[in-house]
Amino acid sequence: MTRATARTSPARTTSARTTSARTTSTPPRGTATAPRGTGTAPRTAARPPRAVPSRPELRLVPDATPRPRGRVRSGLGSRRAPFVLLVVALLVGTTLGLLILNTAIAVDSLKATQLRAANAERDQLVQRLQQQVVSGGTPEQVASAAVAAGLVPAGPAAFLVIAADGSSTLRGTPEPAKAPPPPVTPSSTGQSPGAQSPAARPATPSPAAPSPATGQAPATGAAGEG
Amino acid sequence: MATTPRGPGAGPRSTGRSSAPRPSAGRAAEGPFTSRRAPGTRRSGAGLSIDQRGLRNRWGLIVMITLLVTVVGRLVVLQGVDGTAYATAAEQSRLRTYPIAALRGQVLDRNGHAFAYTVDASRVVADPKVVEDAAHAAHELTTLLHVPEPELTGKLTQHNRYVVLASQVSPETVDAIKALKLPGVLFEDDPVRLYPAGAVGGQVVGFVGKDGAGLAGIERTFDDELAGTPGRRRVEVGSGGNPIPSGIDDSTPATDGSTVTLTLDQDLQYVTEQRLGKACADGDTTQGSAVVLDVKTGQVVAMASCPGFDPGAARKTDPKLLGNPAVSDVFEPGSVMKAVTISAAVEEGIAKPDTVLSVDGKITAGDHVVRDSHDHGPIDYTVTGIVAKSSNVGTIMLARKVGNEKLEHYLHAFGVGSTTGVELPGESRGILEKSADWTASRAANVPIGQGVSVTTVQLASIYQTIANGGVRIAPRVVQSVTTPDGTVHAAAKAASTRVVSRSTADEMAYMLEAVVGKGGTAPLGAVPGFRVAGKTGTAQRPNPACGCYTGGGYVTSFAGFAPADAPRYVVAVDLERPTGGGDGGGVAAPVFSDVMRHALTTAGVVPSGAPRPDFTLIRTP
Repeated sequence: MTRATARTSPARTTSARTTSARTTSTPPRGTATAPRGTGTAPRTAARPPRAVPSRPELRLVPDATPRPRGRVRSGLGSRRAPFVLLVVALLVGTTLGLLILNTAIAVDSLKATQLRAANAERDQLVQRLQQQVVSGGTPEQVASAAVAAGLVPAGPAAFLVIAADGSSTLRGTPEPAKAPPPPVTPSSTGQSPGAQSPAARPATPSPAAPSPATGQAPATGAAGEG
Repeated sequence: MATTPRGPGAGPRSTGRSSAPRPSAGRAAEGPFTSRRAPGTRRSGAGLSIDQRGLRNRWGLIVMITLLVTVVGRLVVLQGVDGTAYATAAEQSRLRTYPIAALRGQVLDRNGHAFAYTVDASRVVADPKVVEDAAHAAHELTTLLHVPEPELTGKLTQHNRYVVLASQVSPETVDAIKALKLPGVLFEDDPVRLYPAGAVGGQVVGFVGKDGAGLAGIERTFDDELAGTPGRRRVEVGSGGNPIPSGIDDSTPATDGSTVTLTLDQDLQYVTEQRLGKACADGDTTQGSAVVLDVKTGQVVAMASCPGFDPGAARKTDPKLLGNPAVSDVFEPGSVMKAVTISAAVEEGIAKPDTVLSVDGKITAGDHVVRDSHDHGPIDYTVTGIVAKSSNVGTIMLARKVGNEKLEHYLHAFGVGSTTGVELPGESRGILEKSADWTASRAANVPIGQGVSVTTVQLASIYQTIANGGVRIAPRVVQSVTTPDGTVHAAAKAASTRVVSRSTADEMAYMLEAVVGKGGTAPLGAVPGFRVAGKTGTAQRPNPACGCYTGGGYVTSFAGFAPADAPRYVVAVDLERPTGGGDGGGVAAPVFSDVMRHALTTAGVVPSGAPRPDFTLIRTP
């Protein structure tokens, strides 16, 4: 039911328009005041009162309305242009900046990778050299190098002790190292046990005592400990 | 709603509307909004009543709401409940975690010479599925990896996705293999442990297993300190596994292992091992150990056993040899233990160096008779003489005066029967029965070092006590632990306990000096230029076959210190001779002499110049 009334109302409004168009005596104000807000209207609004009687009634309305619209658009456009340009410039700048930064980062990371590889290589070199140093300094290596150089282990050393008054005393009996180059000649050194104390010895016991078999194995039969 | 203007249905509903659309349809018969359907032909809803429509709408609404609720509910579950899990899963698919291996710490000697250190190496592995030409790859790799070609070909043709081609390959070889650009051949971190000194110090340092964990010696005791903490690196990767430069890249750096500095002296260790090796090669000696202690600190300066082993080749060595006999093997020391018995007698005021005892050639103990090494009638030995001649009978006579309980107390005080606490795995306590359980024969055997067992370290520790004025300092082999940032943590000081008084220790040193030199049992133990104090030992070795002493051979030993008047080093040597005869004075003393001479010479010890005193061994009437 409501729709039926709605449909009929447009018919009325159209008729109303035509009437208003025809009777232009007062309406021009309405049309003229409307664009006033845009700023360009006042001039046109000022003329109509004089020109109304000479001009055709229908032309004024269509003429007046499109004009302000076009002017508004161009006016706005001219004002927004710098802003748009700024935004575009910013966008382009940002994009370029990002591109440059990314490239720089990529280049740096590439460099870092290269440097790291070079570092690792140096590390390896250092490690290899250190390995040589360590393995060259082991007692075994040093000993064999000494033998190769014709060195022999030193015999018993003697010490020259200088006293406070400048006099010196010799402690121990130096023995020259043996010429043949066997790697170790230790057993030969132990043969002069009592060399430094040939002093009179208390009565030596039975002749059996100095015999090498001075072991002291307890002659127990079987102690039974496993 | 949209249907109503087009479909002028014939239903009862349209009565009110029909007036408006109809004229338009009739007027604009050729217009764009003309319905092509003949009026009244639309079926949908045409025959439905308002109730039916309402019902349909309601059901439709229910279905829609149900669907909506399901979708929203699922969304909530995904986003809210499981959200974090999915987020991490998504992140994980981009993230790669690489382990950063911690470098195992070094083991150094007291002068900073390396016993063990770790270098980078790689394990060469392959994915046979990716390897294109197995024969070609094997041919290329065989010379570089030193693996026979058929073996490589076999591995590369396996139906498997992971085969190990070679372990512990040097970086140079890895570079050479990388240059070949073989597909499917990959590398993994596999650091290699090097023992540059070889067998020198091998028993003390120990070795590591395949996984890099310490299995013996210091490598085992200090595994936690040496191993360090592995780190890891998390990187965000793009396609192809390449890290994204500005992506996530956080890494926890690995903490390298600490460096363990030992008290050993590599040079002296080498000399000791060489000398022991020579002794072991005499045909009769099957095993020998030697320990060198610093008198003032109790530090182990050298510790060796023959036969030794090279830790770098531990996997190829007979497992029986992979121990450290100097701390883990016990032996009945024999006469070297008389030092404890005499110390007890002197400390208890029973004997003085010049106290005279009438010593017979034999003494009855329980059900059997203990004799001296050579038969003799009653002799008026001084206590010095008993020590110098190593008289069993005289020692037992003194021990009986001391008493079993007191003797046991002194044995314990000198460290027999308990571990020394040296930082090495598998240390033995030795064997010492309670005095209450001693039989008469045992009570006669213990004072002369039978029926009681010690390790070489314990033996050295007994003589360190006497050399150090009666104060026993437990032997230690680790000097300090240095963390990767350079902080040095000195090892805790070993406890020092007074065992006997200084005067007792001095008198013992005096008597022990009588052993080395003319009239004593060990003239071969002397070091030219220095005064040496020591004691020989020849013990019957239990025969493992029968559990008795018959046919067990002997353990010969020598322990002593020098210079006798200002002791610097203690050396204890023991040699197992299951087939040979010989005695401590003849076999072990020369080893002692050589090791001691080298220790004194390298340390720059200057002899005091005081002559060796004269000793009264037998009271002259």
